[in-house]
Amino acid sequence: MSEVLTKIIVDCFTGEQSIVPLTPEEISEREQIAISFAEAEAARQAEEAAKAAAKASAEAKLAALGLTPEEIAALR
Amino acid sequence: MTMSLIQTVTLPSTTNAISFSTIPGTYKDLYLIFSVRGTDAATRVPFIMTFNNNSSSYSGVRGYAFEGGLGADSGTSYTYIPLSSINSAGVSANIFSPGEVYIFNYAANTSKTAKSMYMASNTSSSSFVLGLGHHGWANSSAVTSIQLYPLPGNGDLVAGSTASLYGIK
Repeated sequence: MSEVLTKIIVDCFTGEQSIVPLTPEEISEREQIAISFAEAEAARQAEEAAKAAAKASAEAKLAALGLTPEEIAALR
Repeated sequence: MTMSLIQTVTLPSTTNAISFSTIPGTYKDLYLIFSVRGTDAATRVPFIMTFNNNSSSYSGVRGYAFEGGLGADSGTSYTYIPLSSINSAGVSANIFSPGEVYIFNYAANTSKTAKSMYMASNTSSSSFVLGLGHHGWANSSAVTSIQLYPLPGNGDLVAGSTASLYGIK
């Protein structure tokens, strides 16, 4: 990635505003943030998939007991 | 209660982040309001906040309504505050996303909390999100700087994006 990421710093004491490149530390921090977001998102999606699978399994078992689709829907 | 403008900024060009620095510790609370838009090709992108360039010990819960229904998320070990979603290049030109954050007892030597509201939308009901958030930062340092930027990997902020920081007494 060749883009130079910049930030605008607003000094609340002097009122001075300046646009500067992100420091290597800030770039590294952003990379860590992106990684942690990706990990959290993957965990969230896995949790949703597990819930969906459990729901489908439960509905299949109810159907096997003889409940109609309408009766299963009424339980939701 | 009185509210005083500390500083306001409007981006003159595409910029990744807005950073309010050297925030005076003379107020009780802080109030931050923004109107921003991202450069990424997506319809909207996550917009995040950190205090003092710190990337640990954040927590929070958000509830939101969007074109797909209702949603909520929460966490106790965030590396940032997941503040909001903002419009990006995938929505009609020049539509920005507003939001606001109230930061309680920012100068105290206790954990910090904040409340936020935000909205991102296009010109029809086919694309929108509006939400409310409660955020925490388990850190006893006074908040002396605030950073705002799209989630890394999701582009920059367009020129014309603006943010204002107020002090509350």
